[in-house]
Amino acid sequence: MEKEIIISARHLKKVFGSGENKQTVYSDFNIDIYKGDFTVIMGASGAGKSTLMYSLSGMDKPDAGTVTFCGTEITGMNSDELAVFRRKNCGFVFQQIYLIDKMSLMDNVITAGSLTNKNKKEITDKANDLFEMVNIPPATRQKMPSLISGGEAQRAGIVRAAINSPSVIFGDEPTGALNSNNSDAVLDVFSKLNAGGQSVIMVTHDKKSALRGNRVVYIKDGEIFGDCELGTYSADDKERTKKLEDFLAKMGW
Amino acid sequence: MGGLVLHNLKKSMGSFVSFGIVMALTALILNTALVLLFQTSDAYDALFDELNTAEISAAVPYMADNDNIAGDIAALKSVQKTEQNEALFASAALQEFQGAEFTMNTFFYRLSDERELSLHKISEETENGGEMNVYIPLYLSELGGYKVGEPIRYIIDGTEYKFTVKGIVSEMQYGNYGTGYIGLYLSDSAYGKILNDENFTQVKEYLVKTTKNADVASVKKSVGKIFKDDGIPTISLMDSVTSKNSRTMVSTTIVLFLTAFSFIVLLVSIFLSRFKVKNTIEEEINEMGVLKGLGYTSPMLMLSQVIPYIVVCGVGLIAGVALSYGLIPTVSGVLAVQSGFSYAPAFDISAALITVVTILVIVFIFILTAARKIKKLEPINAIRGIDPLKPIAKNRFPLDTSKGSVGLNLVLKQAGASVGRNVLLFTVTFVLTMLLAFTSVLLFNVNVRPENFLTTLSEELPDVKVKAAEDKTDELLSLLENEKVKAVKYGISSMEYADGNIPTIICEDFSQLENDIIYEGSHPANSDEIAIGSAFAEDYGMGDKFTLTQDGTKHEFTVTGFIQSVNSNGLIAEINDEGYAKMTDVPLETFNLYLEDGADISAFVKMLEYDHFDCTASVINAAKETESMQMMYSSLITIVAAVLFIITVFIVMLILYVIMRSMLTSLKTEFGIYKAMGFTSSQLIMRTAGSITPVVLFGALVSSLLGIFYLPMIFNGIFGVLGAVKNNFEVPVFLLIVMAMILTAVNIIISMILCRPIKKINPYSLIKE
Repeated sequence: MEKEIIISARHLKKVFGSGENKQTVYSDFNIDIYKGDFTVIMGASGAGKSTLMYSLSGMDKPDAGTVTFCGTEITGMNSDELAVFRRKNCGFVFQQIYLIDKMSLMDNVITAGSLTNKNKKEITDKANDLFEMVNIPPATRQKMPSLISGGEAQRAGIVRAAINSPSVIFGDEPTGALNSNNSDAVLDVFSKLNAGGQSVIMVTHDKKSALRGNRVVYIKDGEIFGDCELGTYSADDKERTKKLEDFLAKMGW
Repeated sequence: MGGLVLHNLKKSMGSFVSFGIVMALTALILNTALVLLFQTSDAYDALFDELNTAEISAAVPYMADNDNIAGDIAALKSVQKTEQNEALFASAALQEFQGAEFTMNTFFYRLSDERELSLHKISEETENGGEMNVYIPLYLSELGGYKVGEPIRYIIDGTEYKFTVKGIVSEMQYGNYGTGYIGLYLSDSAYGKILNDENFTQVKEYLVKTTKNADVASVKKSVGKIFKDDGIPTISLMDSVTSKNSRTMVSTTIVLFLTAFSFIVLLVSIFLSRFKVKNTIEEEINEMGVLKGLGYTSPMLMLSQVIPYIVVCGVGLIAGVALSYGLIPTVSGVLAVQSGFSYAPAFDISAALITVVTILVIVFIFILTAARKIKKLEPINAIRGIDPLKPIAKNRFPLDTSKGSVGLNLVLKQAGASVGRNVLLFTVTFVLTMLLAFTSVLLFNVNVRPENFLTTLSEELPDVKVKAAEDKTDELLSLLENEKVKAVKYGISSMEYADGNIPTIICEDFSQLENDIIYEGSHPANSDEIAIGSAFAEDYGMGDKFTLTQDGTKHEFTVTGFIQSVNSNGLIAEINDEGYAKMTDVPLETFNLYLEDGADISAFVKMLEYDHFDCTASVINAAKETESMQMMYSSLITIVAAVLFIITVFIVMLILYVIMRSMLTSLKTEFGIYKAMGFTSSQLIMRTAGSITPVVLFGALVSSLLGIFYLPMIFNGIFGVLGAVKNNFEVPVFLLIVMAMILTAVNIIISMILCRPIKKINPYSLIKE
């Protein structure tokens, strides 16, 4: 069965700086992202992975080209239209987590949820379900971000990203600042969400994280250098691991 | 460290500019007040000396004078020099004084008379003129609107006297009606024309120059005693101290008001700077940790925060002092209208030093104490962003359990996020609401309910004042009865008391009057009772005896009450018509008339003047006089109120600018996160501007409602200084609430405008940071 395209980018161009400091991240970038996929974007530092991800999500505007997201071209939208678009279609999980530090975990999630649903009880119920799924107990949900571990905070960040059932959850190196145990817990949540049909795009440097994806896109010199289909994630699938290692070796990783 | 100071200065340039402007404003107002405070009195004394003005002046009817008086006065202790002059005196109704008629006790002098004491200085003069030339004091020119070369008309006992204003004079004796007398200087021909006119009383003026450091009050008393012992009635007996007080009263009040206002602005700016310093430390805690780690000491870091404020404060203050010299001539000019003398204020080093040094020291102390927090920062904790004095934030208004919508609770969360910001906002709002409440209540009582203001300043305010023609009183009263007009026999006569002359109100029935000026005790109800002015309150008590003399007849009255009079500085008395009749055979034929509400007063006056001229000696449209007086005060107070309102809004803008800049800087990341979630710029602007609303509304409402208590106290204080122990001001609660709402709305609108940079915050750039 042919996969449904959820995001389609054509002829994307992104340049930072000007004059002598001008740095072209990509000049004619094309990619399709498929619905239900767990797409991992990899590449060397400075390859433009995050830049690409934020261009695809409407968080940042490319200098040229088009991005069609769920059938809507978003590159022509103004910042407020993009904000409204994001609240329905995008969830973000950041490396620095970026929970709002003056709010409890629950309030962080409800704040995001209130953007698409005015029924407080429904939002709270859904938040509690998601907190259950990411193994954050009720008492912790009422704590302030500064009083919990990085892993708990990042899982709360995922709950916040998922509260509006977005079309795609974007993860920008979500395990980058976490230790091994916490990383696994966070990746498990991503896998669980993806298994439930949630589309995920994740930028990572980490091979272990990349294994969670069913598709790994490697970016080099502003274009797709390699695109590898790994198949559905399974915890102890050595064949997938080997396939990824071979792919990355080929990419010069 | 210089680099660090410069770095801090450049980093928050916008906030420092705001702070500098507020300081400049403070210095502008304070220096203006101080220069006027220091120089007005000195300038008055300088002109007083320059014109060799007598400390005591007395006027007696020429006919009653005797040759011994001059010698007796000269023989008094502390008398340096005496002089006698001729003059003419009349209670003259000046026409078209601000568009109305204003009756004043007026001395008419001959300009060419040789004088050594109480000289005059011609400040403006025209070549043109006629036979009836007059030189008027600055007071009449400024306040009454009479220009050089233009006519000036008087009506005395029904006869019109028309003069041409030939020039303006400055003089320190009768140059201002605050004393109850005014002096005019006539050309020889004009003086000659009225010299034998029976409407004028020929008077002998005695001028007394005392020795240095003499007790002027005591000499005045002795002079009064000489007249009394010789049975000579005095038309006026004045001393320079009372005269100076009455002439500089309004300027002193305004100077005090300006000083108070500048301290309010200073208070606000101190709170603002403390907030900014504390906020900067919180925002830059990591940077400070790094600097401490590098070896910067706490005093170095503290100074790097304090010095930019002191530099900006110093520059602002010097600029404010410099700018004040653009404002001072204008304010001084406005004050000259009331005081009746003008001067050119000069640069005042003491005022400038007091303004700059005092404020700098105050600001330094307050900012240094705010910056002391830096001492408590441990480098490693600071690098990790741990503020030892900042408690862990509480999750106020939890969204899952709090009542109300998520949006409302998000606003409330943001509102409660910073105690320092809320304290600053509350304080600023409270103080500024005080200013607005004061201004609006003042405006209300001057413009909407002018009777409240005018009855506080004045005595009775009838619609019409009428004097019956000789033997026509009954006919006039019968006519008034037919017209259904309330008529109350009422008049004011200058009477002698122990220390000189006082205007004395005579009335047949004080309960019939509409403005109750008694503030303690009761009005005189029989021929032996008297109510006296507030100026006598220290020397006389209820039940004491008070003697008045009229037409040479003395009568001893018993004090039954105390009355107020701003116009006469509390030097006034009131008796009933029976008491008056015991001293004089001259009948009281003047009446205050009160028409029904909505009646056409001008038509009524015309009717009396044209249809019944045979039974009236004079008719005055007192309502028009009142209206003109109200307009005069109204325009002055409206200007002051408008300036205060503009300054208030300006301060609100500056304060909010600093607060909003701090908020936008500290919440920049948070706004990025919100935008990433899908919040639009307008939602964030509304929420941020809305987050200051609860505390602003609370501060404004608390201040407004407390205004019910503090405003009467403020007005009592101000009018107390002016001589009105009791004021009739209303403090309408609705107006206070409306002002609170206006201030809150202004705050929200300005905040929304200042929050517009939120639009430029790009979530992606924040994440990149």
